[in-house]
Amino acid sequence: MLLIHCPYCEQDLPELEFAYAGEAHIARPADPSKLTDEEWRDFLFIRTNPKGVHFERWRHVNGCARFFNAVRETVGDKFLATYRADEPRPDISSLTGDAK
Amino acid sequence: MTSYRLQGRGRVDHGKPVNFTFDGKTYQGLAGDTLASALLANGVHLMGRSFKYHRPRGVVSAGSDEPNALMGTRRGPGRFEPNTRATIQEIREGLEAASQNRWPSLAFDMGAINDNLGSLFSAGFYYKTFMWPRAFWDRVYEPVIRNAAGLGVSPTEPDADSYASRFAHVDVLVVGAGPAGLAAALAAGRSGASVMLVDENAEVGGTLLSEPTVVIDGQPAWDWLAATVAELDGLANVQVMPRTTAIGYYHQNLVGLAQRLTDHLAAPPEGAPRERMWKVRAKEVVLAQGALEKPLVFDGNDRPGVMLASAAQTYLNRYGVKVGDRPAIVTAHDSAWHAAFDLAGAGAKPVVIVDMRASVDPALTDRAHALGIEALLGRTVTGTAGRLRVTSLRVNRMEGGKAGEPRDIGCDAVLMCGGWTPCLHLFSHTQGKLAWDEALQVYLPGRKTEAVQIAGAGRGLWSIAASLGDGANAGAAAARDVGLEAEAPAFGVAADRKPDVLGRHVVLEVDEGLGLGRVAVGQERRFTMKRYVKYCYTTLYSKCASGSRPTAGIVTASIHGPVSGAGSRMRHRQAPVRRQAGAVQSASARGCPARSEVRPSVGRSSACCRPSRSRSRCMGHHGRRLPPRTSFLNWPTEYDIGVMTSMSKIESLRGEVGLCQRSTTWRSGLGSRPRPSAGFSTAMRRSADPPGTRSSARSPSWDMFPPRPLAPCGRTAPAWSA
Repeated sequence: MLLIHCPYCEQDLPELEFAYAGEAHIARPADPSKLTDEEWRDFLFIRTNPKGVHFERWRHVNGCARFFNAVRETVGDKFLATYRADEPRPDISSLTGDAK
Repeated sequence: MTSYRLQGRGRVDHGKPVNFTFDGKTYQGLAGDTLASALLANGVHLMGRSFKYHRPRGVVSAGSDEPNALMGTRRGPGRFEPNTRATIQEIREGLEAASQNRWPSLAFDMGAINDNLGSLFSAGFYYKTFMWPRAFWDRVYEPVIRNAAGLGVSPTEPDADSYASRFAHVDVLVVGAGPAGLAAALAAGRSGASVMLVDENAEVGGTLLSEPTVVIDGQPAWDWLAATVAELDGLANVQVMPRTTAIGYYHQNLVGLAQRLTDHLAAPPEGAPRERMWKVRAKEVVLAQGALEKPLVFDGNDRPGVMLASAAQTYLNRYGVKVGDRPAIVTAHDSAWHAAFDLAGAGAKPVVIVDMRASVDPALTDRAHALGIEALLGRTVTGTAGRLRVTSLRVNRMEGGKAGEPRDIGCDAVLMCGGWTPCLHLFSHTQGKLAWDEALQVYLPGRKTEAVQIAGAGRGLWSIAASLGDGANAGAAAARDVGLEAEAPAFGVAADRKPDVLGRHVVLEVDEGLGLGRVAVGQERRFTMKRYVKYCYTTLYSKCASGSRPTAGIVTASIHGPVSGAGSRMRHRQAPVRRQAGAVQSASARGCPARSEVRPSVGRSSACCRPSRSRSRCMGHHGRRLPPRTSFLNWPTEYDIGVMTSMSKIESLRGEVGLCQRSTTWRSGLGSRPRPSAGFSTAMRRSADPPGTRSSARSPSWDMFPPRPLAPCGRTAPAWSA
């Protein structure tokens, strides 16, 4: 069972308290009605789904209930970092350098 | 007292006889005996029947890797357990044990007729033959076949026991309390780190229990062991837990432990839990699990009386039992020679030492001659004879890679040794990779993914001196990693007989009557991946021996693939544990029908302690793919059996065989009985080839473990998260 650091509670807590909430840093288009069907489909459904470092949203659903972002390495299933939802994405190379 | 028990020898209490029954007959053992050692002391080798062909089976090992000596044990109503390993179960006053899978009796078993008809049953025989009429399968064929196959009978009464559960957080968890584990616990414990030392045996010590002649720091091994255990017990920050099996290694150093609490007690305290499940979160883990001895492949290597040389040595030195009066030794490794010398020193008369190597250390042959033991070098063994106990051994000279003129040698036990292989099953849980070591001819731990150290024989360091030193270094390193000052103690070791060389790489499972022919049938069906051949055409990897004996050698050799392969892993679980150990409350209170021993990885579901999150939910939920070891009890089997990840393989399997399930009948064996004589020398030659020399261009695509990306999940994110 993973331990996940909640950036709001500032604690390492068991995975059971958290829920996954999809890929992070996907901005909703300002004016959806201007989009083509393809662009709207891409916004709704198309995700990067990388093998390796992935930016994703998590929610501390059984705790503070807030959303935050995380960097997770999907092959080894390891969290490289978690950060608040309003913070910019961290530099991947520094994180993976730490992880390896 | 019987003639097989040696007065005053071993760690058993000669002043405390214990009575127990086996198949209704009363036997006497000593306090400290296991069921297997007590039966051997009474001259009983025949302990069971094989899965399908009902061949007579005797004890093979002296530890948790026992494939044959499986028994039903009972302690009153609701407390019957099938498939108890006799090598693990300690005897207690009034223990009732019964052999399995035989009718009407163990010595005369009607089911053995299958063995004589075995040549008629090729792989897939049932499903190819009993196809018509279709309705007959459910009502006629399957019940009959099912009845003839299998091992223990499931209990039907509600389980009367309760099972406990506990969490723990420690700095250093040491798994395995042999020389390396003890040294690691000492080093870490002296530094002040909180240490948990666990061992699956009733007594800590590991190899030291079977090697009393080693001298450590000027003391005999057992005195050193007692002093070390006393020191560890005296340290408040160290917890020593015998009878505790580490069953799983999960994310971020969470390790599951199953602790057996009352099975060894004649009168368990009222209300005491039978087992306790520990979930331990450790900052550092030291795996000091040692190595397993490999059996040799020859026709009739499953006869009662044929066992591992190290097991005979353990029975002699630890339990004071000689396994036979005239044992023959068949080996490809030095360690079995010492087993022969020990037995000779205990009054047995070893008749012959057959070594497959053309030359060995002259000191060994000289010692053998001095003891009057015939030593045959460069020979191979092609068969044994005897109905309920081995009576003779067929030895052939090796002539240009082929077996030459045979010679039969009478004996009452055969001790085999095909070298040793590191026990890295827990390490493999962590997605840790194994690396093939060309020099040692074994898999060693490769890339690590967790804060884990592997020490001792698990790293290919076979000698006790090297294991002690390596364990001390690992323990000290672990303590330093958690921020403590630690120093690795040094040990002076004398009379260390464990050699640092290995023998050949020849392995095959013994418990399922797997024949090389069956591997060949798998290949005919175009299953060229090791994994599929193993799972689909052999019964390797089912039952208790699952993963406990390395099989890559022979299967790979037969498939002309490289022995090594990036991403090779050992199978997940070595020692079977009871599922109820995971249940927090009493199993009966939760409506669990009965206790049974299961390997969770087989994937039969049970309502009583299903993990709280099902894997399907985890996988389907939001598209986050969980790697195989995430759910706590490592439940289902897609990754385990490596088949379901590829639908095309399922299609192929169904097209070829007609069925893909792991029911009892399917696992009861699909092929012919062992006929290795002809194939044996071929396999020996092939497996002796250096790995990678045979068409190794093919990529090891059978490695199905890395999670594949799933389709996008389609959840939207609010704009503010960008």
